[in-house]
Amino acid sequence: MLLTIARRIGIFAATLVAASIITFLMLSILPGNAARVALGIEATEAQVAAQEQLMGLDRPLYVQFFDWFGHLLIGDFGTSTVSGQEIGPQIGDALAITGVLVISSVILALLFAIPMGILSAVRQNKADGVIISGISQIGISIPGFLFGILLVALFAVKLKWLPAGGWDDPGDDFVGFLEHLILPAIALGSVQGAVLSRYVRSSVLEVMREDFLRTARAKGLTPNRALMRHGLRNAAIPVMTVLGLQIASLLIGAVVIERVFAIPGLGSLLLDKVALRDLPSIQGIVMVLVALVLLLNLLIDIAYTIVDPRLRSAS
Amino acid sequence: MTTTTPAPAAPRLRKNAIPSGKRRNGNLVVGIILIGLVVFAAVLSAFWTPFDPEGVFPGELLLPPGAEHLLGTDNFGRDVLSSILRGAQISLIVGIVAVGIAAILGVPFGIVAGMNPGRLDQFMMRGNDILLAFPALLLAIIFGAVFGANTTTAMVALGIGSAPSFASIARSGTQQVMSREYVQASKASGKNGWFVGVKHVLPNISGILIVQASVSFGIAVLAEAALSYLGLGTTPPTPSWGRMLQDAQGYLYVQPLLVVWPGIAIAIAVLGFNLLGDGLRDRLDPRMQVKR
Amino acid sequence: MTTTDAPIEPTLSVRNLTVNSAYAELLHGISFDIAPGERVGLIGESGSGKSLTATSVMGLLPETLAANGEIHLAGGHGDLVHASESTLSQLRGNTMAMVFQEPMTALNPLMKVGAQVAEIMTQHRTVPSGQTAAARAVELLAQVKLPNPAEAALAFPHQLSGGQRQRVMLAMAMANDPQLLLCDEPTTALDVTVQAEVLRLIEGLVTERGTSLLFITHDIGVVAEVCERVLVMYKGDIVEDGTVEQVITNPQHPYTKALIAASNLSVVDERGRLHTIATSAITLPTAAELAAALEEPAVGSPAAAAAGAAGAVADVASADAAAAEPAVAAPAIASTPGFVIPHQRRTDPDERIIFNEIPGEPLIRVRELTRQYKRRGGGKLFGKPPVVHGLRGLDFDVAKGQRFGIVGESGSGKSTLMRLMCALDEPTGGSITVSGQELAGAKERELRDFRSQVQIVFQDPMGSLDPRMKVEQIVAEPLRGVSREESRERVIAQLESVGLDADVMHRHPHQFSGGQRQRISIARALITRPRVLVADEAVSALDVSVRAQVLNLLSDLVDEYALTLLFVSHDLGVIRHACDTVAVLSDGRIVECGPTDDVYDNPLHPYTQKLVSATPSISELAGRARS
Repeated sequence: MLLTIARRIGIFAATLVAASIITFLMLSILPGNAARVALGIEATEAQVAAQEQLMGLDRPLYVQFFDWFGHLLIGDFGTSTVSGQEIGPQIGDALAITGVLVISSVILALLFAIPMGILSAVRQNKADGVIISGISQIGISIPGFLFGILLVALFAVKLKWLPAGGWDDPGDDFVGFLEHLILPAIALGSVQGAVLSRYVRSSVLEVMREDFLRTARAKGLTPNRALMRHGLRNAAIPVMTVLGLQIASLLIGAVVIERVFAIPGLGSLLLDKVALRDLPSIQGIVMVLVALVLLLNLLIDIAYTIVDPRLRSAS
Repeated sequence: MTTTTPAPAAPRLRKNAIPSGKRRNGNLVVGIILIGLVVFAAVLSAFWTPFDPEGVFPGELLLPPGAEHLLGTDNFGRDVLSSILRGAQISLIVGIVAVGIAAILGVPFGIVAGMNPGRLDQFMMRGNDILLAFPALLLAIIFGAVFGANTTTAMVALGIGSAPSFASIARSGTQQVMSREYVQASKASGKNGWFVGVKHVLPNISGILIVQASVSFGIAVLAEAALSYLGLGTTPPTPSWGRMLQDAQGYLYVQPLLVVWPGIAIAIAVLGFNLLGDGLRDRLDPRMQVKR
Repeated sequence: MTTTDAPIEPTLSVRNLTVNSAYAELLHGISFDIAPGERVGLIGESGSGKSLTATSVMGLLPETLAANGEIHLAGGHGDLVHASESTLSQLRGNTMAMVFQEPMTALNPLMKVGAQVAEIMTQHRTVPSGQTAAARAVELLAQVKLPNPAEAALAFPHQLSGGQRQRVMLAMAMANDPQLLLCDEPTTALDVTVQAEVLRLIEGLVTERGTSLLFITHDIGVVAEVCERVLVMYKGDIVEDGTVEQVITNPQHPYTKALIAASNLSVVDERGRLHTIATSAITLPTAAELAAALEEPAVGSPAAAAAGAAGAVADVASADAAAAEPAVAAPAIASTPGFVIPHQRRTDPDERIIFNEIPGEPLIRVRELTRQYKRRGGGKLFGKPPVVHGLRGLDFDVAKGQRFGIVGESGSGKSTLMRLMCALDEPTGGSITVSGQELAGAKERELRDFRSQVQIVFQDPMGSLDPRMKVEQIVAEPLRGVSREESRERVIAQLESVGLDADVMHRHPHQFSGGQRQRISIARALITRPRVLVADEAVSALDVSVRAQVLNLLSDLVDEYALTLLFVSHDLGVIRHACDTVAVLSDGRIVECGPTDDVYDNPLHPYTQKLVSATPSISELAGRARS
C-alpha cells in the first residue's frame, strides 16, 4: 500500500511541475508584456527595455522559469509589478479565508448530498424519491453565484437577517464571522451538494444491482440492512472519484462566490489582480489554485486506496 | 447444407428493438422544450425584439414590470425582456463554439490514447491530467488577463478547458470498443488503425459523446454567465445574462426583480441541457455505460 | 433412491408456480417436490425459466416480476410466495441457502471472506457470539477444502481464484445447516478441473448433512455427476421429471430427446454430423418452426413444442444407427498422404519437443514460440517489472487440411496463442510461419496476403459483430479492392452458404439470436476464401441445441472449402467432435499432442488424464442405454 501511495505522490509532484510550467508560459508569452503593463501605455521603448532588465524579463525564458519556480519552492512568490508589495503574504491571508469558505461548503454539500442521494435511490419509484431527485436536478442548473445573489436579496435585503457581504475575522468577532460565512457557504455548498447527490444516487442505484447485494439478501439480510452493511461502502468509492473532480469546480466556484459577497479571499484577489494586469501576482495565485486542486485530488486518491483493498495490494 | 436456420421472422425485430417506445422519456421531452425556448428566443431576437436591447432611455430607469415593458427596465432604461431575448444568442454561440472546440481537441486525443494502450496512452493521459488541474473557468480568467476579456477569449478558453473531459470520456469509450471482438476481427482482416477508429470506434462511442456534448453545453452556458458576471466575458453593449446579473446586483435594494429575470433565463438554459443529457443517456447509453 | 411419493413431508414443495412480467407469463404454473436429502437437477437452456424458479423459491425475484402459486418448505413456515419480507429474511440463509453463478461478483469486494461467512451466522444468531462465528467460519472454510483456512478467512475476495470464491460461497450457504441448498449454475464460470472438484464438494456436503439440493444448470453432464433426479425445463414449463438415468437413457418428451441428442457430442450420423432437431425432423412440415423456436430463447408457442414431439423420435433412431460408426471421420490430410499423426507427451517440462511434426513444408510451422508480459503496477517502485510467461516455448506444425484443436483451461496460454497465430499480437521470441510467411516481426503491409488467408470466428456472439453496422457491411469488411456490386454478390452467396437469407443484409446484429450471429461471423470469416479458419471458443456461448447446429455448419464448411481448422477451446467435447488432432496446453506449454481419439481414450500426460476425467459426459450413460 505504501508503494502505491509513494507512486501517487511521485505522480503528483511531476504533475505539479508540469502545471507550473504551463502556468508560467501562459502568463509569460503574452502580447503586452509585464514591463509595459507595469509602466503604462505612455512609456517609451527605452523605458520599457530598462524596466525589462530590472524585472529580469530580458533573460531567456527557461532561466526566468527556474528563477520563479525556485523561489516558489521556498514560498517566495516575488513582488507585485503594480503595487510593489510582496505577493506571498497577500496570498496567504486570502487563502486562509478561501479555505474556511471551501471547507464549510464541502461539509454542507456532503451533509446534504449523502442522505438525499441515498434516499432518492432507495425510494426511486416513490414520490419522495422522485421529488428529491427533481430538486437536485434543478439545483444543478442554478449557478452558485445566482443562488448567492438570490440569498442576498432574501436574507440581507428583504429580511435584513444577515449581512449582504464582507468578512469578519473569527478572532475579532466570531459571531460576525459566522454571519458573514453562512450565506456564501450555503450558496457554494448547495450547488455542489446537488451535483454530488446525483452521483450518490446513481452510485447507490448501481450498487443495488450488484451480485453481492443479492448474496447479502440470500443470507437473510433485509434490503435496508444489506444496503447499509454491504452497499454503502462500495457505493462510496465512485463518489469519491467524483468528489476529486468536483474539487476543481468547487475552488473555482469559490472565486465567483467571493465576488458576489465581496469576501477578500483568493478569488477576489485574483480578479483584482486581473483587473490591474498584475502578472506576477496572477501567476502566483493561479499556481496556488492549481496546486490545491492537485493536492486535494492526491488526498482523495490516497483515501480510496485505503478504502478499496483491490487497490491496496499492488501485486 | 444439412442444417439451415430460417431467416429470422419479423417478430424478432420488435422483441430486440431498443425499448424506447415503452416508456416516455420525460427528461428528454422537457429538455428539448426548454432548449427550444432558448433557441426560439435567440432566433426571434435576431429579427424582432419589443425594444432595441441596446437602446438607452434615460427617462425610463428601473421601471417595474408593466404593460409597456413586460419585465420592466434596467438602470439605463433598457427593456429587460429585449435584453433577455437577445442574451440567448450569446449563450448559444458560446455553447456551440466552446463545445465544438472541446470536441475537436478532446475526441481525437481520447480515441488515439484509447487505441494505443501502453506508453503512449499513459503519456497522453498524464498530459490530460495536468490540463484537468486547470478548470475551464480559471483558464478563462487567465486568458482574460492575458489577451483581454471578451466573448472570443471566453469561448476559446472554455473550449480548451472542457477538452480534457471529452478526452477522458472518448478514451474510456474507445477502450471498451477496442476490447470487443469485432475490432479484433477487423484487425485480423488487415484493417488499419484509421479504419478501426473511424468505422468502429467513432460510431460506437458517438452516444456517450453526444451526452457529454449536451452536459458540456450546459456548463459552457453557465460559465459564460459567470464570466460576464465577473466582467470577464461579453463586453457591453451586447446583452448577456451574466452581465445583466452583475448590473442588477447593484440595484438589489431598489429593484430586486432585475436579478430574477436573467436568473430564470440561465436556469432554463442550463436545466434544458442537463435534462437533455440525462434523457439522451437513458436512450443512447445502456449498451455501454462507462462503468469503472 | 428417494422418491417423492413417500408419505414423508417434502423439503420443498412447489405448486402451480407462475411468474409474470408486465408483458408475458414467464413460468406457466410449474409444480414439483424435493424430498429430504434428495438431489435434484433443474436443466434447461437460456430463457427456459430455471433461474426464475430458484429466485422465486428464495423470494428474490426482481420487483418487476410477480409470482403466483404456492411454495412450501418443510417445517410449516407457510406459503413463501405470499410470505412477508421478514419471514423470508429469517428463512433465507438459515432454512434455505443459495449459491450463485458468478463467483467473481457474488462476494462483497470490501469485506474479508471470513467475516462474510461469519455474518450469516450472527445474522441468524445460530452461534452465541461474534468470536464463535469467526472460529466457525474458519472451520467451514476448512470443510470446503480451502488451503490455509485461517489465512483465507482474512483474505479479500479479489485475492482468491474463482474456484476458491465459489468454495467460500458454499461455506456461507452451508453455515447454518440449511434444509435446502439451491445452486444456480455454480460451476459454469469455472475451469473443468475446478468444476469437478467443486461438484464433488457440493455432493459430499449435501450427502453428509442430508441437505436437499436443487441444482440448476444448462449442462446435462453436470447433472449426471451430482444429481439423482432431474427436471427438464422448456420455455417456462417442466416437460420431464425422472431419475437421471431414466431421462438420459430413455427420454420421453421430444425436447428432452433433442437436448440429449444435441448434448452428446460423441454420437454422430453417418456423415460425422451431430444430431439436431432439424436433421431428425426434416421431413415434418413444422421442422423449421421448431428449429427456429429452439434457437430463439423467447416466449414461444406451445404448438412448436408439440410439433417437435413427432420429429425427435426419428432423431434417436438415427442416433442408434450412427453409434456403430466411428465418432469422427478419419483425418483427411490431403497434402501428406500416408502421414500418421504421432501421439506425443511431455515428460520433462523444459524438454524441447516438436509436436505433430510434418515432413516437408507444413502450412503452419511454430518454433520456440514465447510470449512474455510485463506486469504493470506490480512489484517494486523502481527496478524491472515482473515478467509473466504467457507462452514458454511452443513447437508444432499444422498440415494443410488438418483440423487442429488446442485445448486448455484459463491461464494456459491458449488465447495468447490464438492472438499470435492471427498476428494480432507480437511474440517475444520464436517464429510462426504460415505458408512460408514469417509472422514474427512482420510489418502490417507484409501481412496483406496473410490477412486474407487466415480468418477468425470468435466466442461472443454479442461482441463479435459491430452493433452499429449492417450485416452487409459486417460480412463485406474483410474484402478489399472489390467493387460494390461484386461485394454485394459475394455477401449474398456467403450468407446463403451459412444458411441465412440474403435479405438479412440490411439488418443490424441485435436483431439476431446467438446462433444466427455466429453464422454471420462465420460468413465474414469465409468471404475472403481463407485457407485457415481459426475458431476461438466459437460455440462456447451457445445453447446446446444451437451449438450442435453451428458445429455441423463448421464441419460442412471446412469440407466444402478445404479449410485448415484451428479450433481453440476449453471444452474437450467440442474439440473431440470438431478436430482430428489435439494439442493440450497447460501453463504456456504443450503437454500432449496427438490424434484426438487417442489422446482422449488413452491420455498419457497426468494433466490430460485429469482434464479428461474431470469432463462431465453423458456418453457413458447414454451408451449404456443402447447396449
